[in-house]
Amino acid sequence: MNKILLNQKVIIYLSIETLLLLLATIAFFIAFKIVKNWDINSFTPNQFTLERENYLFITLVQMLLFFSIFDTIYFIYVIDKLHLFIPGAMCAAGVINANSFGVPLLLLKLFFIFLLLLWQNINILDLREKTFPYTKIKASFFIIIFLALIAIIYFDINYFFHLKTNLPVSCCSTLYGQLEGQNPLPFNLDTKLLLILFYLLFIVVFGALIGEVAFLILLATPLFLYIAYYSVTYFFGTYIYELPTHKCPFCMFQKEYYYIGYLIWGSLFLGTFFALIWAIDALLFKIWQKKLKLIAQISLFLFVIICSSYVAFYYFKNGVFL
Amino acid sequence: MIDIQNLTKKVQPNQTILDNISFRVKKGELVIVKGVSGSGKTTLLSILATLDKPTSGKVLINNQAVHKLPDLHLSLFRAQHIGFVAQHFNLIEHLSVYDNLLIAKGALTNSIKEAKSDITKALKQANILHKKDAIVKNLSGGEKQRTAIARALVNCADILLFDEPTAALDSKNSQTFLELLQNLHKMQKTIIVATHDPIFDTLKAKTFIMQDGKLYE
Repeated sequence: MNKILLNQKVIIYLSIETLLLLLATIAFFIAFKIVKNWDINSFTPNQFTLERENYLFITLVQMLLFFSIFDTIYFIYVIDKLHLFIPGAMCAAGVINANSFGVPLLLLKLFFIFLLLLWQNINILDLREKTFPYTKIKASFFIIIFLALIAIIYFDINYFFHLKTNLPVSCCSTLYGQLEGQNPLPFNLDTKLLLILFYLLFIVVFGALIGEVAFLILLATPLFLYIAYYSVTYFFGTYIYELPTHKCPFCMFQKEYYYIGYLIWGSLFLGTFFALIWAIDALLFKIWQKKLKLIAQISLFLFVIICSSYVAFYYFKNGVFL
Repeated sequence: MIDIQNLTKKVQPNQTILDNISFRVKKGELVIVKGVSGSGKTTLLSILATLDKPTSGKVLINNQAVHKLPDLHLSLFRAQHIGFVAQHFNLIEHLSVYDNLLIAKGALTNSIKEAKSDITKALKQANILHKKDAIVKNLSGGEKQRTAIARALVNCADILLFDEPTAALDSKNSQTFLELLQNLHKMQKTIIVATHDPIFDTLKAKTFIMQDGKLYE
């Protein structure tokens, strides 16, 4: 028996996942019925039943969204704590990379939250109108979300079943360290160019949000997310750890760094997700939601301020940059 | 106008409360729905008040299929157009008369000035202004009913629904209620009263008889 599966935190995590799957399965069956039979102009018992079930469906998916956010945060917490059981691991980086299922699982979980947020956004637009214009769309969309959850469960099972406590793994120093002659940064950028691109893309995204240029947001935001990941891991992270050789996206989730990783990554994902959803709304539904835009702006601004402040404080404290 | 077409309400697959009911009520009309206890009057009124949904059939109020509206729109529609006086009044007992009305008014306005003016008007119409600051639990049955009526009127609803309005009243208060009802009718309100009290026989109104979930004119 895999010892990891007996870990209390893993048992709790897998139980939550099972519960999510249960909620999603009920929602899936209702979604399927809605896709097949929904006709708002009908006054038959079947349609009235569907309309009642539609509210159950909405509640289930909203619960799924709520718990998925906490579940993802808890997943990061669990893999961070599991480093004590995996030889060679010093933080979640070693644990998540211990087998080939970890990284795709984490990415899928983040993508899953994005999909659920997008679903919730369509739901709000649907209920705002008098005729449920997007009910079939959101039910069809949920079927895709359900498939994403199945994929998450598949990766969950494989990840934890293949997590060995007797096999040494590489941790952040190896995984994110600069190997001889190799540049880990994308597009062969150096740190200076990476930072220029980071701030430039932030200005573009932020400016596009102010100017409400949806198409530009849709293009620039994923690129900003990508560049921001490398910027935090390879530049800002070193100021958080106050060590130029410590390059890791996960150690900042630990107590020693005041769990700042949750705020940094949380604000980045919240900001980029909401910016993307705002742009999708504007392009597909011709709806410009001020609240979404404001949340995206505040989150992205907060993210950049937190990251930059680490560099500034380090400089004021020590008089030098790393 | 209220237009009901083939309205059916089932609570179990085999238990039919309303059985394929159709009728129309014109604007400003006074309608009495008579029937013994358990005949389906309250269910009918609850559906008209948009508090319950039908199993099948159409309910058009002012040409709007109300039960097809999303909850948010339905709540707004209810607040704007429907005043419902339940059999047991459903007032918040530990609040004052004024506060009970303020809660109802607060659903539609943020202006205290507007709320105050409309509440005073509704309390006057229901003849309960003198008890404005009284706590509801200290009121008599008749006073509670007038408070409930004032609450139904506070948002200037054009449709008023009364469920067994005289069930808890003595004959004197019942008579006072009839006078009040006639005054509301003069104000061009569309009124539907569900009752089994013969006192309403004296009223000049369109009358339906409800029996075993079916409606007869």
